[in-house]
Amino acid sequence: MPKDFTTLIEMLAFRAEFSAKKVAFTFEEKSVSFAELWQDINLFGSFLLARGLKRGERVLVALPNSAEFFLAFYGIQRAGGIAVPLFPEAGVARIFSFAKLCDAKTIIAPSNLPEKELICFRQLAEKKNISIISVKDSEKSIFNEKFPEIKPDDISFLQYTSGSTGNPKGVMLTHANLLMNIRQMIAGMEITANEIFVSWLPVYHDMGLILKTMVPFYLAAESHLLPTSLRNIHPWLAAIQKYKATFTAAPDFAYRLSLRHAAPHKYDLSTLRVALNAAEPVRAKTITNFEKAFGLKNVMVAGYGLAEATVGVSMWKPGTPNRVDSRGQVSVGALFPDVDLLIVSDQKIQSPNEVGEIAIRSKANSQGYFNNLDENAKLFWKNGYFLSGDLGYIDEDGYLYIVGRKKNIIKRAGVTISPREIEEVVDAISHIRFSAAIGVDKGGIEGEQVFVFAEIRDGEMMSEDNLHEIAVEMTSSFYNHMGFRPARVYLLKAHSIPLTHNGKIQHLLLKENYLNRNLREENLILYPEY
Amino acid sequence: MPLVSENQILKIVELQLGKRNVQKANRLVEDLGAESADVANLIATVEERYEIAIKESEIARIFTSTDLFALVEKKLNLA
Repeated sequence: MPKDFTTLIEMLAFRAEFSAKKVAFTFEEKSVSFAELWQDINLFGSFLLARGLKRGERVLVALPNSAEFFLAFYGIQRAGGIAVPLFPEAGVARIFSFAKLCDAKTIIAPSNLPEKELICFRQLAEKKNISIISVKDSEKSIFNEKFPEIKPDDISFLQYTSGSTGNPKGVMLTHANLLMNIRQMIAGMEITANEIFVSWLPVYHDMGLILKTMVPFYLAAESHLLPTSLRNIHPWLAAIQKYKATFTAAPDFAYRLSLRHAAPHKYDLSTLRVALNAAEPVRAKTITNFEKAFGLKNVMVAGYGLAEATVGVSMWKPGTPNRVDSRGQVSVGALFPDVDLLIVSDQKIQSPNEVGEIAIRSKANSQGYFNNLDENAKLFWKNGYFLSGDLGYIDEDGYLYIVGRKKNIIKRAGVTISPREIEEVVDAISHIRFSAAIGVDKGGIEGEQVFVFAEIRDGEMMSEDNLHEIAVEMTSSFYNHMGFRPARVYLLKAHSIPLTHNGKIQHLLLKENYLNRNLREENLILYPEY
Repeated sequence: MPLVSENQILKIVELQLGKRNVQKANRLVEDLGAESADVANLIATVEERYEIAIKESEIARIFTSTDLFALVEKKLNLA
């Protein structure tokens, strides 16, 4: 059993001492031992201290999945700074905007960034008083023996959450938060040191970073990291087979992509104990189809989590049949140990089976958003609970179900409708890639009505009659399921519905794009013409 | 090219109600199962599509897609 670490730094130092030769992780088949990892973390930390890094100073880590990510991420913390991992392909302007948000003066760029791009990046950064450095720069550094002491309540990193309105908020996660949630997930997911992890999830995002890299480091379990590339699903499935993985995780769409692009008979995924489906709405159909295609049983389980509670909150118990309610919602299971959860509506606590906003209290709860008093005031409710913004309910057996996002909810004729319930129905229609439902009030007597947008596969090649047929089918299926009809249905070209970088539909942005006629002007609507 | 055709209106009705092969004489409520919200949404769609305004009193006289077509045609010709 690992000892009771109080910081991630202590955990890595312990691993370097007692599991020195053990492989910490492989990236693209190259392995790094705990001793090597620790040595390079210290080297990079020394480099940062020599550059004058101050305690608590934020440093942006704009790196993709790579070995050097870990050196940068932990090197910053070793030197007393706060890491801010960031989607590396966000674009220069966006990276600078994050630097401004968290007042960072240093950005870590990939070591293999082409010289031309690096020069350009540095020139732009200079004007903003920001330095661009890379892990490679630390190669000739001299070891610093005097690293600052890191305490459990020190912030390890800021997890920026996208937010559907485009105002990113930096969730502050301390070492204590992270270690608590790591332990909660290990207990709740029944993870042991014998687990074999395979992941392509981005390490600049919480599920990929905490569940898929910190948990294996904590246990010194086998961990294989792949580049994040959804253009090609095969390396992921091939790695599961090659390494005989027992634990993988991905959002629903990655499993759907596998069903579409991979030939199941080519892969043996039978070693999997857990294929966690989380980070976006889980579809019952994906679970059934994936397990059937790949010959698995009770392996794909739904989970729920959010950055404000560090990451993991609940997961369905692997090895037991999933629970799906009458609305087609897949249960995300029972709560992890030491997580308290209430369902709240109009300040009142709801009974089992009643839908309301999910409020969470856990030792893994973040202290709030970095430098954001307004949002912090909205986040915290009372008695240590924070309001998640997610709507859900708990059934009589204590299992949690997620219904949707509070602010995306549609209120039609006094009835609350979750976009997801509609999207599940529409997504099942052939030729539809996926759909998004929003509520629109055009000011008429009919009040807020449901508008449905569906991306069509190869829609540009279809005749108007074909498109009309799909659109009619959408209204008809909608009616058969919901008992009323949508006000409008629109067929869109592929990639027209805005998504966050981790695949969540941005309903509010879609609504904005529709109402300000951007969809029309950018020629994204295939049908109808009005 | 006429500004509105009977076929266009039929297509709008089909799409709005999720019905195939709607015939000119089909009654929106009795034959096609339209509910009041559907009629309101249908009118809103037609108003937006043809850039016209339809009064409450006029809505009351629409029973079939032919009625709707005639009303839209009249409004466009007057415009």
